[in-house]
Amino acid sequence: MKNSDKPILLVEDDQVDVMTVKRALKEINVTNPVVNPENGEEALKYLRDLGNAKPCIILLDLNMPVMNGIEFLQVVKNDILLKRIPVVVLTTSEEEQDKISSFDLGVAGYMAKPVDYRQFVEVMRTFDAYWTISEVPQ
Amino acid sequence: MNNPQKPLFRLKSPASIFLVVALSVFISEASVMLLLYYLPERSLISEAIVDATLLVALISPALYFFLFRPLAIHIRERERIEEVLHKNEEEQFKVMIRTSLDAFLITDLQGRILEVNDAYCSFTGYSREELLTMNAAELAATESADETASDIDKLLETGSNRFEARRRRKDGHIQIVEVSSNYSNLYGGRIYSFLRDITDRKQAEEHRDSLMQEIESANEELKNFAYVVSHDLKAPLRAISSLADWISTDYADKFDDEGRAHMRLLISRVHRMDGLIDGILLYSRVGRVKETMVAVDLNRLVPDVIDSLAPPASISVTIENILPTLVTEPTRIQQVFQNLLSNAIKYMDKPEGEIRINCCDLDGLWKFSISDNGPGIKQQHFEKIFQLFQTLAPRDRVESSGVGLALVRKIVEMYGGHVWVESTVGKGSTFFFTLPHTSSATISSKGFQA
Repeated sequence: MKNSDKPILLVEDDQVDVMTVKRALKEINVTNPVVNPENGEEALKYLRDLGNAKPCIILLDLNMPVMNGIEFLQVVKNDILLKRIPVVVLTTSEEEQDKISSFDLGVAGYMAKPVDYRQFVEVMRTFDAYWTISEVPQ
Repeated sequence: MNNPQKPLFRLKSPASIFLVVALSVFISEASVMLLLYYLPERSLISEAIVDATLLVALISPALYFFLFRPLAIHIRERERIEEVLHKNEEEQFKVMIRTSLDAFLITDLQGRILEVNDAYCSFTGYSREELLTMNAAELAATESADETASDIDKLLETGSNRFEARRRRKDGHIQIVEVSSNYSNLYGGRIYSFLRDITDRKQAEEHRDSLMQEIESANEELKNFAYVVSHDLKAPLRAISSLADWISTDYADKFDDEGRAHMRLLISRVHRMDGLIDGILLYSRVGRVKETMVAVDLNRLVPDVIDSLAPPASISVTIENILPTLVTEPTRIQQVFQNLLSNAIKYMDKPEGEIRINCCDLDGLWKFSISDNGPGIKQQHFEKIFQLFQTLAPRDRVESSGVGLALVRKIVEMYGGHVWVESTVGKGSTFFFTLPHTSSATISSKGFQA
């Protein structure tokens, strides 16, 4: 990650998936703090609270209760203060419609969660490498 | 000397008188016949002749006797015969209307009922006397006055009209009727209509439509069900996989050999389940996800599939003849060859494996065959192997999802073809499948089941 002090916002309701991401990040030595709202609504609450640090990236699950990933994107991408934070979708869904909706709403990437943990670590390694190189607006 | 005048005729003998009379009668009869022949039926001239007959009798008895009287008699006779015929025709017409199974009615342009047949009476539940005082509009059930008016307009415009309408019987029942109407401008405008009760037919049609809708939505649900279920199954599976991985990594030093073996089995079962779910996804995707139909040259596609399978050196794969180019979905046809060939490779038990691919033109169909000299399949399994999740070898020996042949069958049948196997145990198997030459045309959005 380019800014190792900024948090990663992991919008995810599955506890083991949260553990998986945290563990994988630790394994590849990503030291950014991970903030974990359980759904889109909580994520928005976090983002709109000025006392909270702005995340360097948002990792977004699509299937979540209360407010799902697509609904969350619809709000974020229409908010002038939030729309430039890169959002990467991290999901089980390989449904074409989900990919279309996500990219229509300007996501920076779309990754399927592999069942195998080792493979997942490799996905996160590539993810980290990319977002270390990529410039983002401050 | 007076030249005695020589008369033209000298009626000396009765014979000559008779001759003259007979000649006159003959000539007059002949002219009457000729006149009648050229006289139009029921013309003003014939009426004039009849009217003038008495007058002629007073002026010239000869003309009366020889021409007008016979003419008048003939004309009257002809009129009488015509009238009888006409009456018969009318009678015949009435019998026809009475006999008709379809209801019949005559109305004027205002819709007043002027005549009905018995079928119409039993059709509406009203008596003939009641109906003759009614207006056809009173029997209409749901049509608005506008609709009725537009039907009448169309009728006046084209002379005839066929339409469906709803009628209310005397007992309140609603009937759906098919109406065929004709307009005639006799007597200031008349509408002649035949009506047929099509309520049963309509209800049957509606029932069929609603059944079709149910089937379609059930089918749709089934398609989505497989997808959604397999999706939701993946999440906990991923959790199990991760947790098992962490336990075996984090507590590696605490496990003995048996513990480690169990963890290995646990993870391998997770992978198997993952494979099964992927299989369901793959299977449910056929027909659910549409690809663009393109011309696929099998002479390129099949060698590519063989390359991707990377058969071991001990197995030879030969394409025996030139393969056709099909207009189809490339992924689907690739899946067919990939599954059949990978099975042939996977189950090969001979030191020198031979796999042969063949294609022949079979009267509107392409018949493909993939033969191997592998273990063969017992006849009792010929049908079972094409079912979803059916495998013949224990999964621990040959890792298989049991989806491959089911997928092949679903794809081939979706394109209007068939797939079957012929096999001799110990000698090998041949899988056949057919595809119509015009497979592209048989694919419709509803042409197959999930």
